[in-house]
Amino acid sequence: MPRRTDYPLQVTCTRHGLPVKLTWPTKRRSEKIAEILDQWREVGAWWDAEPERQVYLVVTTTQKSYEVYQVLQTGSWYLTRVFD
Amino acid sequence: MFAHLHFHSPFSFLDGTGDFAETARIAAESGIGAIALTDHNTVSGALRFQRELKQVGVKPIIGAEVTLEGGYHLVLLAKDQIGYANLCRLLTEGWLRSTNGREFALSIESLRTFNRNLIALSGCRKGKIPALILQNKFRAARQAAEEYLAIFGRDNLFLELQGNLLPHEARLNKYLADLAALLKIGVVGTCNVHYPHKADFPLHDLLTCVRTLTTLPDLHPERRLNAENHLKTPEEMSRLFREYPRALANTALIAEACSNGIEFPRNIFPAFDTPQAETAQEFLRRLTFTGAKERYGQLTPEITARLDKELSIINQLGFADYFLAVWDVARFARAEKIRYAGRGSAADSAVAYCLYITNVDAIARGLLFERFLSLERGEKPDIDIDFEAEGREKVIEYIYRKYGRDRVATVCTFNTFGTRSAIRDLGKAMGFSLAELDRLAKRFPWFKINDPVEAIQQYPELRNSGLPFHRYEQLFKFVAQVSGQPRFIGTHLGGVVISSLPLTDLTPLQYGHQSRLITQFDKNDIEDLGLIKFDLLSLKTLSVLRDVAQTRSPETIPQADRATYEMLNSGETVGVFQLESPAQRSLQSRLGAERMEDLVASVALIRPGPIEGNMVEPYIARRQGREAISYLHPDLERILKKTYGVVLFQEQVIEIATVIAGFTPGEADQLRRVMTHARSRAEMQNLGALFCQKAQARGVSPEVSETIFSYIMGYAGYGFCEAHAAAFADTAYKTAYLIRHHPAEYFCALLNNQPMGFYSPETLCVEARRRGISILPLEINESQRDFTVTPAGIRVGLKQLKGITDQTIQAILTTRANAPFTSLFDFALRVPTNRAITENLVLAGAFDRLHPNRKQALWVLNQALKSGKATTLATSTTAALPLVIQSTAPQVTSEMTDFTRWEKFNQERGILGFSASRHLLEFYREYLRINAYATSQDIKELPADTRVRIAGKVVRPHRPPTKSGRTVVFLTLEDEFGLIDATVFEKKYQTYGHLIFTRELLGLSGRVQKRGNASSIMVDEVHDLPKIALAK
Repeated sequence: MPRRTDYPLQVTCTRHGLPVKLTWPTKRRSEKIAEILDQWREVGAWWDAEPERQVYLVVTTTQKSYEVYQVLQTGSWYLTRVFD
Repeated sequence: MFAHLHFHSPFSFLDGTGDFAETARIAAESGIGAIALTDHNTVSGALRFQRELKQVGVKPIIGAEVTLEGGYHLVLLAKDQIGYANLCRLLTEGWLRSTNGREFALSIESLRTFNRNLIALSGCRKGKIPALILQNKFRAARQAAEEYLAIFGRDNLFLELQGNLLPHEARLNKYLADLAALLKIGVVGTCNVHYPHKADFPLHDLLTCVRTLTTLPDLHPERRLNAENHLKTPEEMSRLFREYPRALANTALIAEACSNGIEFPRNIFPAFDTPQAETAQEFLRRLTFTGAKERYGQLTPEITARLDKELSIINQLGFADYFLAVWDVARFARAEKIRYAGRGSAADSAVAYCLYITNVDAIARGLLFERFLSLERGEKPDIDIDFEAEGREKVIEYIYRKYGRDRVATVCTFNTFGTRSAIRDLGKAMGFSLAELDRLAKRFPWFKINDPVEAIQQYPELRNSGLPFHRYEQLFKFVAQVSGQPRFIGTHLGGVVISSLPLTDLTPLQYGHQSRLITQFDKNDIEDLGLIKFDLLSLKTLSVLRDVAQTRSPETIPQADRATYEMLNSGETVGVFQLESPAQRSLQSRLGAERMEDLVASVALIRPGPIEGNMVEPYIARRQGREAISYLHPDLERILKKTYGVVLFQEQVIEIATVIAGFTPGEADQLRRVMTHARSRAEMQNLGALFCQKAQARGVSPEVSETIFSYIMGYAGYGFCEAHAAAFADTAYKTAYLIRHHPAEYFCALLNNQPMGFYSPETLCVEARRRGISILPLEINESQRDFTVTPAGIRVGLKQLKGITDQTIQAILTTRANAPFTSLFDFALRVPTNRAITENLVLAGAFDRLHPNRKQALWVLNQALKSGKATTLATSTTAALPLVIQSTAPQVTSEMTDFTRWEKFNQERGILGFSASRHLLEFYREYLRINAYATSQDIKELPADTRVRIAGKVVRPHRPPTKSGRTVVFLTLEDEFGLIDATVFEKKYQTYGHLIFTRELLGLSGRVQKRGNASSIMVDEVHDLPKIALAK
């Protein structure tokens, strides 16, 4: 079952902006992305000034699946869902 | 070249926003070569769309996104005229499936029948193929594709890859591309556009909430995940479809294969079925001259020449069949004794007069035919006919029978967002409570406001309302954005089109009001399809004349009745058609009307233009000989003599341009129209230069020609059509005559035909009483269905009772015919009705003669019902069974205190819409008397400049545009004795506006003004009446 978090991440990207590595800054842990399963854009609760984001569903080389997103306005990355 | 082939406009009704001009501009600037309009199940926006796009050199393609049985979507694009006609037929089939006219569902069989020259795209995620793929039903998706392939063929079917950055999009597009390759069909790239700019997304999301009856925080499958449905540039599309370059290239191929919009024929009016093998022109001529002999007796050379000229123009323009059709409609109405009156610019036509289409003698009045029809303008005629309300349906049915149901339709209309409706709809979606939105919306004026934020500063009833406007900032922003956009399609009140071709060649048809078939194009666009519209409207004043005709036939009313003109001159014109508003009453009391020309001028004078142009006072002064009349040029005298030197009518503008500058009448009318719609200063200057040049060539001095042009430039924008004014004045005079000589019958007819006119039934009752006619209350043994005239006054009719049905009324009348009701109990035993209606009858006073104590009567009823075997506590609209009550009336053991006068008054008002026995001000009269408030009758006796206080019920406060641009509010106060008009100037309005537009009752103080025969108040101060003043 997925656990919902909005955890700040550091993400390494290709020059086209696609994520290739996820790093948990406080845990000093990184995982390489094996495949981007899907991606889409979300607007969110714009009436509450929620920012637009690009969302990625990724699977890492350790076979874990994550939903991460980048806030387009700031460039910051967050982890929002972990699939066990 | 890239083409957007899936585009929704606001004509997708709450699923699209933006405007065509802006879309066209973006497309032109970003290099989009073509756009296909694909609204949901409609082509309503097609003509405006193609006009705007062609102006900027972008190719318009007409299509629609249709909903199939099962709910799947499919995009269809018309390649050409044939494809467009098939699209119209498909849309018609889809709409006519449901009798309520609200659900669209197209069958596959229909697609097979009407597939020619259409290109199909598989659609958005609601398309059958993509929907099945997303469900992993690949075999079914392939079958669906093969089914479409069989219908449309390989060259006309494309699978739609979409670039909206949604979940699973890459996978979906890949499957679609693979399927297309397998079946050897093409792919196209689209982005399902629903708004022009990305920044428009919030409004679109809000409209989605309105459409789905949800609020912003709610989840709903119709809500879009992101703001990627805007009109993307070719560069953005290239990036999105870099893996599928063929998808973008194919958009250009499709655009090439489609025509540049759709062209329509000029005139497809059906040929009239003429008798005796005559041509339409011959038959029209014969009818015209037969009618002319009846109208004129002797045909002078002038009359003959005029008729010949008109017939020549009509025939050259190819409108003989149209005139014959209208003549036939009028003939049918006369034969069925349906009252009617032709109006508008058609009254400029002597032919129309001779054909009995209008009742205005254009030759005697010197009216210019070219205002109605001219070779230079070459536009289609537009004839408006008012019918009495009940007869209009018969006329429409006749037209359907005569021409065929597939060739006649009513024109649609688009309900658009106004300020109030936008506040309510969008505010609800934003989560505001209905009560709060109602309070907010009602504060805004009825007329359209482009910027609510500006309006708050401008209007004191908003500024001083105490409402927390800071809460509504975001709402107001959206209200301004959505203003004027279409919300839904409706039925035009009168527009009817008749076609020689099946209408579905030109426009889809769908069900409108009362299951009438309506076109998908409104009156602004319908003629561009080659159709001619005529307006068959319903005018309740004609129903009133019909009702009074039993006492006095309008046809027998003498012209120039002195007593009628005396009444008009007193300003006592409540109830007179077109002349009853406060501004008209004020005018009539000063004008001194003596003849029909004065009434014609009255109708034209009280309009925004002449008022803003400050023409009213000079006109009155000249009419009364108080101001000298001079003419800049001797030739102007003949044209302007009837209006005392003032340019009042559009026809006069045409004549001036003709006589002074040598324009032909047709050219002059074109000039008038261009000046009316001219947008730029440069254009007006060019017109002025042309006019002056031509005038000077005819010997007119430069100074005089420039001054004359400045007159007509000022008046052309708002001048009224004289023919229209004359038609209205004719009816106005007849109603005035009837009020003067048959007031009881006339006011009774007015009350029976509500809602209509300027005033409420309550005010009409006050006016009737003022004229000495009593209003007799509802009475269970006396009242008929309708209001009726009796020797003692006007008796309120049963139909006025809230909630009563025709069935119940009939039951009362039938039962009573056997024997009058002797008590409420007797009534309940004998008449099949329900408790709610019976109680309403009691509270309205219908049983007062039998049971003076209404509370006691209700108690008796209640007791009887409780003790009976069963009760029918039905809704107010069912009346199936008698109230089952005990067999004998309950005994009243002690006297009960009745409702107070105040309670009774409010009950009557609530149930009947007014009280027949009392007026609201009676309850304040004692307080008002003690505190020296004058009555409406007192004011009439007071000299000018007297300071007074007065109180009354507020009637129709309004603020018409003024020359200075400053706000002046006109309102009327009504007391139990009559009406008094009051004027509130800008400064006082800014202080008291929040009271004027929100209160039912007001007190005000000011100074008496005397203008002509009327009195009014110039207001200094406005106040609420204290509640303690109420004498209950």
